[in-house]
Amino acid sequence: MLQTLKKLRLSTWSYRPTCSVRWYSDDEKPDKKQKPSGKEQPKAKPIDNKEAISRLNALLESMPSTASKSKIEIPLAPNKKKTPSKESKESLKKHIDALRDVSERIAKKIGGNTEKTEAELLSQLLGQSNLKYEGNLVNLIADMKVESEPIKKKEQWKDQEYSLAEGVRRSLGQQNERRFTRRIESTPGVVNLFGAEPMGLFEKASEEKDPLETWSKLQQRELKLAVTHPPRNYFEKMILWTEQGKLWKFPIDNEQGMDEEFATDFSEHVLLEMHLEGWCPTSGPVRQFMELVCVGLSKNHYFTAKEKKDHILWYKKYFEEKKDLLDGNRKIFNIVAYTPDAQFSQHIMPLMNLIPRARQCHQPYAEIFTNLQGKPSDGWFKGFKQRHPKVCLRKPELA
Amino acid sequence: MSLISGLSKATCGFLRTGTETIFGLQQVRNKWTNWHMLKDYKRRMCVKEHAADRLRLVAIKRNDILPFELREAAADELHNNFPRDSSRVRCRERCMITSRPRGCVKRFRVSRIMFRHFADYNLMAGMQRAMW
Repeated sequence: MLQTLKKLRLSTWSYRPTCSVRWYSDDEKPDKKQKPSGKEQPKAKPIDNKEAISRLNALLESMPSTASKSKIEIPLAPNKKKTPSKESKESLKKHIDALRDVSERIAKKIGGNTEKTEAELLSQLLGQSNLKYEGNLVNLIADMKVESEPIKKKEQWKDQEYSLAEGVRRSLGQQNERRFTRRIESTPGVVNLFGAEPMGLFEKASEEKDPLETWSKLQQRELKLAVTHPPRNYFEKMILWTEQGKLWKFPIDNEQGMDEEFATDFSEHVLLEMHLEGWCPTSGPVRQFMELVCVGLSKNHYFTAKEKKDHILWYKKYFEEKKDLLDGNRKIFNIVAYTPDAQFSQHIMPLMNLIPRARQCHQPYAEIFTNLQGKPSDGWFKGFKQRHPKVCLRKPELA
Repeated sequence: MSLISGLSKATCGFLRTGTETIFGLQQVRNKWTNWHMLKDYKRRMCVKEHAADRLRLVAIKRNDILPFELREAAADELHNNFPRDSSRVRCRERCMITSRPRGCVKRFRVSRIMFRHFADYNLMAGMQRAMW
């Protein structure tokens, strides 16, 4: 009997609508049709009967009140933020009071600076429960601010594995930015590695050169490529080239890339005699030569100021090395102005087939004229003609 | 492989042009069109290396103000202490594609045949068939 009733129930229950704003309580009979609102009922019979009235009343009573509506169960995401309700705050306060009492008792037992020990204890205890407090111990609870923060994302990462790029960056040594900030309580303190003397347990490791040079280089290259992404399209390529300076930047500037040149003043390019100070003689062939060099460089558009300076200093170094040639045994006469071109090869730049007179010029000995009878003529400046040689001295002795 | 490359590194100078080999143990290959092209490239690198020193010594040698001993010394150094390939006149302007030593259009660094080919396909900036 019961089973048949149940079956009936089940069969009638299946025809019920699944979501309905209001439905009747479980007590009602399954045979009756379900309607959204019980108010609209077809009145088959007139309301004269007492039975009908009583039935109506019963129905009305059985109808649920508007206040107790059943809610629609929509699968919403749970509210993550837990706002501290009043009850939780009160419980926290009680908790803190208890802690305070306990810490007082302990501090008294230990002795010494009770306030300090209390403060330390409380800081230890309260720090763990993620609370903050400001002010001194007396106004501890008055100044207290309860902050319940949501779980930091960083803590979640501890359990996750690193991504491939992360791992690569770490191995390359670029992981300075994302270090987890440890809490102060968990660190052991500042450690000074070189504070004490070494114990001498280990020998110094031999610094051998890496035998697989190419291998390590290729490994480094591979790591770099794994982290850097090549350009995905031509636009990115062009961007890369522009940044590298291979492409012109818009608006076109003819002097693109010449920033260092802008910084150098024109005096560094033109007034180069300052680099001759200190080492170059004030007169003589070397000075003349160097002045010509400076003039030439000042008109040069292509050398940088640094290159010009290096050019001049190279000559300084060179002349210092060749000092013995400059004021050595040989004669140094500036006879260019008075030597005709035809005799250049004989006197200035001797190669071969020298005439006897020219051959004398290139002898290591100087001839001093003590009795000069003639007036200064062309022979005077040629200097090597044997006029009236009285004394024959070597060049160093002259100096 | 590493041994060979290591040895070859030791034997050759710092300029690595991909032609290092040891006594036929390794076939020499490079990406240059010609061996002539490669040699020209090596000469140019040498010129670049010694260009500054050469310029300064030549200035000492060719001037007529300084004493001739000094200039003699400079001439001697240029002649003996500098490699021959550091001289600019030894470089030959070749086509950079075909390595043709003659008929090279200097501005474009290609031979006349390649120049014509590229210009006809509109790959030379601003070049047009002359018509007047």
